[in-house]
Amino acid sequence: MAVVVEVHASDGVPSFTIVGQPDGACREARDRVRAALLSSGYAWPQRRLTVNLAPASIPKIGAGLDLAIAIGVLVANGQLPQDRVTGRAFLGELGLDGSVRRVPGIVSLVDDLLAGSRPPEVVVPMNGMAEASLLGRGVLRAAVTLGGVVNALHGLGPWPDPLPAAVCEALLPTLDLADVRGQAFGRLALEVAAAGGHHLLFSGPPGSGKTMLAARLATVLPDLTREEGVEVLRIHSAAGQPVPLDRLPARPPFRAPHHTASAAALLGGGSSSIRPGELSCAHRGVLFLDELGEFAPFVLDSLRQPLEEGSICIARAKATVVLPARPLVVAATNPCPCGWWGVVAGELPGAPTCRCSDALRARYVRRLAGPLLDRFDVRVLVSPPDPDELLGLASGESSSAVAQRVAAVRGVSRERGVATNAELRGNELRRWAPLSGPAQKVVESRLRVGTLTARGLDRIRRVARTLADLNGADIESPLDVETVALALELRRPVLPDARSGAAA
Amino acid sequence: MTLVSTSFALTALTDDRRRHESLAELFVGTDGLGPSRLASLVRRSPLTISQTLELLAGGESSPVPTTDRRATAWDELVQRMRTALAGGLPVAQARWWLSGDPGWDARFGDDDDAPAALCVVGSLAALAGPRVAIVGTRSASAAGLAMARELGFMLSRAGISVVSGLARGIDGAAHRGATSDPTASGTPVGVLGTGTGVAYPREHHGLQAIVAERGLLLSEYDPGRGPRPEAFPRRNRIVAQLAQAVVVVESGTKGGSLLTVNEATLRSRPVLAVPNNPVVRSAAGTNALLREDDGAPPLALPCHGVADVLAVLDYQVVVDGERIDDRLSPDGPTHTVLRAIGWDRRATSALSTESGLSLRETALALAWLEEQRWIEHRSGRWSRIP
Repeated sequence: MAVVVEVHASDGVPSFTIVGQPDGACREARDRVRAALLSSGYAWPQRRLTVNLAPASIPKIGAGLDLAIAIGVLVANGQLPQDRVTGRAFLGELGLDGSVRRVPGIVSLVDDLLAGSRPPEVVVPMNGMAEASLLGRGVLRAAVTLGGVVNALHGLGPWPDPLPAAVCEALLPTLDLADVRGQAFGRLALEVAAAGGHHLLFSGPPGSGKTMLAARLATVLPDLTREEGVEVLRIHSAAGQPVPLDRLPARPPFRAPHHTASAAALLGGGSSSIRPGELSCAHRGVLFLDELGEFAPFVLDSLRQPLEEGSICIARAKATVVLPARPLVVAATNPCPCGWWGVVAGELPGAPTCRCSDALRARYVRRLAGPLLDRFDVRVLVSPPDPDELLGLASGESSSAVAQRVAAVRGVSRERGVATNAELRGNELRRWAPLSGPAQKVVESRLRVGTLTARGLDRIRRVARTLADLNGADIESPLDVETVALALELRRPVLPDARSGAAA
Repeated sequence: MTLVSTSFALTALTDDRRRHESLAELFVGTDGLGPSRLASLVRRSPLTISQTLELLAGGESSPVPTTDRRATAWDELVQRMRTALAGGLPVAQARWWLSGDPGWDARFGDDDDAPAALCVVGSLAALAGPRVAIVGTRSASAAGLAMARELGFMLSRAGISVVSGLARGIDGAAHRGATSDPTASGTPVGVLGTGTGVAYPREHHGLQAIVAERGLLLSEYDPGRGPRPEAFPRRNRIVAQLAQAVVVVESGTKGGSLLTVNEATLRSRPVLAVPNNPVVRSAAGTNALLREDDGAPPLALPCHGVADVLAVLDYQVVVDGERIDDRLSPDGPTHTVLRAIGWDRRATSALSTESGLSLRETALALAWLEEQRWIEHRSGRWSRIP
C-alpha cells in the first residue's frame, strides 16, 4: 500500500516530529534525514516540522520512507518546487552521508505502487533497481545519493543509468537423480509426487536413502513460469533472502528447515513486521521435512490447514497478512526412534535389532499420526539399496530425463483445468479418472472389507491418474487395474501401528 | 488370615446361588482384597466359599486386619455387601464358577495355588475334553505367528481345546487358528488377565467374542477390571492349571510364557517348545528350553508340529492333513510373488527386485494375494497368512 508523506512547517520552537505510527527504525528517520540533508549541502529549516505518514491508522515499519521524508522536508522548506515531486514515489533508506540504500521487499513494494490505474514514476535505490526491474513495467528511476535525486528532480542533471547488476549466478544444481542407484520404487514415488503434485512421505531405516531421494525432488520439477517466478521473488525479497538480482528465479525453491524449527519459523510471523516462513519460502517449490518424527507435534499440526488451503493467514496484534503457501511437501522419517524397527535380516544383513520399547515406539508414531499424515498421498518404505545395484556401474536415470516426463504430465493436468492432478476434486475425478471394470472390482472388494475409505479412494484415483499420465495414457482414459494396484501400493501405511506399536 | 468367630448361621438364602456369586464378585472387585485373598481365605478355612462369604456379609465375623489399609478394605467390603444385600437383588454382572462347584475339583483338585472363584463366559463343557495351552511372546516373528496359528488350527480340528491368554502375538494367533474353522470340534478356552468385559489388547475384542461364543472365557477378576501388570503372571498360572500340556511357540529369554512354563513344570505338566533359528532374538527363550543345561535334561520337548503334541498327550487322533481353504491357488506372477514373500516380512520394492517382475506387475499380484487373504500388509511390509 502506498504511504503518503505530508510535511508541515510552521513557526515556533524548532522541532521535528514524525506521526502516523512509525516503528523504531522509522522514527529514527528524524536523525538520518537531518544528517543526510545537511551533509548533502542543504539547509535544515529552523522551524517546527511535523511529518505525517498517511494513512495514520496503519503502523509503518522500517527505513524505506527515509528518502520520501527528506524530499518532503525540502519541498516544505521551499528548496524544491512542489510540481517536481507530483506523480512520483520515493523508496529508499538514507545514509548519514546522503547515500540511498536498498530496503527489503522492494519487489513487493514497487509492484504495489505500480498497481493503480495511474502508476507513479518510482524512484528506487540503485542497488534495488535490478530487483524492481524484474517486474518489467512502470517507469523506474535509480537513486544513488540524495543530492543526485534532488538535482535530477530540478532538471539540473540526468537520472543515473542503472548499473549493470552484479551477476549472481544461481548455483548450478549439483544434485541429480542419476546419483541414486537402484531404488526403483523410491524413484517412482518421487516421479509421481513431482508429476502429480502429491505430497510424499519416505519411511525407512537410517542410511536407506530417504534423504538422498527427497533432496532430489526439486531437480525433477519443471522450471517456474514468469508469474510463478514473480510470486517466488516477492516472497523471498520480503523474507530478506538473497535473491538473484539479474533475473527471475527459474528453478523452484527447495527449503529444508531443521526439525527444531518453531511454528513461527515454519509458518511465518513476527511481532512488528511479519516475515514469511519456510512454508511460504517453499511456495511453488519443495518443502523438505527431514526427520518428520522429531518436529514438535503442534508445529506439524499447524501445517495441515495451510497445506489444504494453499495459503496461510498470519494474524498478529498489529497486522494480518495472507501469504501464499503452495509447496510440494516431501518428508522423511524413521519408523521408530532408533530407526531399525521392522528391518528383517533378508533386507540388510547385519542390521541392528530395534530395541525401542513398545510404549516408546507407540509414542513416536502417535506424534506423526493424525491429520497431517493423511495429507501424504504417496507413502513409501525405502529399503537399503541392494549391494549389487549400489556397486553396479549403471547410474540411474538423470533428473532431466525424469523432469521431461513430469513436465508432460503437468501439461496434461493443465488441459484438465488444474495445475496438478492432486487438485482434482469430486466431479473432476469422476470425469477425468474413471475406473476400468477390473479396477472397479479391486477397489470394490476393499471398500466392502473396510480397508479402503471413500476419501482414501479419491486419493488412490488421483495418484493412479498421475501414474497413467506418466505411462502416456489418454487424457480421459479409464484407469486400468495395474495402475490402480500400483497406486494402492504407493499409499500403504509405512509406520508401525500407533495403537500397539508391536511387531505383530 | 483366620476368621475370629467360628459360629455361623446359614440363612434361608444360602441356596440362592446368584447371591453367592454377587458376594464373590464384590469381594474380588474390592481394592486391597481381590482374588488371591479370597483364595487364601477359602483355602485356610474349613468352610465352603459360600459359607465364608455369607459369614462376612452377615458381619458375624471379620478377619483380623493386619494393617490399616487392609482394615479399610475389609470395612469397604462389608459395607458394599450390606448395601447389596439390603437391595435384595443379586448384583453380579457375570456368572461365577465357585470352588466346589461341579467340575471344579476335577480341574483344580488339591492345587496349592487354585483360585477360589472364576468368572465365566461361555460353556464350561469346553473344559471337559483334552486341553493344550499355546503360549508365547507378544512380539513374535511372522514365522512364529504362522506356527501358532497352524497349531491352534490343527489341534482344534483334532478335538483338542486350545487354552491361551488372548494376548497380542502368539496367544492371539493360536486362538485365531483355533477359531478359523467353525466346524472344528476343539473348543477354544481363553484365560484373561483382565475382567471378562474388557478386551486387552483392544484389537482382540472380536476374537475374544468369538472365543466366548464357541468356547469359554475365564477370569479371576470382576468383569470390569482393566489390565494391571500383576494380573498377567497370575493368569498364566491358571493357564498351566487348566492345560494338560503347554506348547511355547516363541519366547524371549524373559517374559510371561516362561512363567507359564514354570507353573506347568511345578505341576508336572509336559512342556513343548518350537525350535527356532538362533538369530531370531524373540525365540532365544524357547531355544534355551530345548537345550541341555549342564547335564540337566532340557525343560521342554521339541515341537515340530501337531503330531508331537498329540504324542505327548498320548491322544490317538487321525489328523487329516487337508486344510479347509477357500482361497484360490496362486499361479503365474502371484505364485512367484507369494514364494518371494516366504515366511518373512518383505517390502514391496524387495519383492519386485527378487521376483524379477516390474513394479506394476508386482503391485497387481500383491493386490490379488491380499484380496484372497494370502498375505497381509503391516507397516510397510507384507507377510504371509498361514
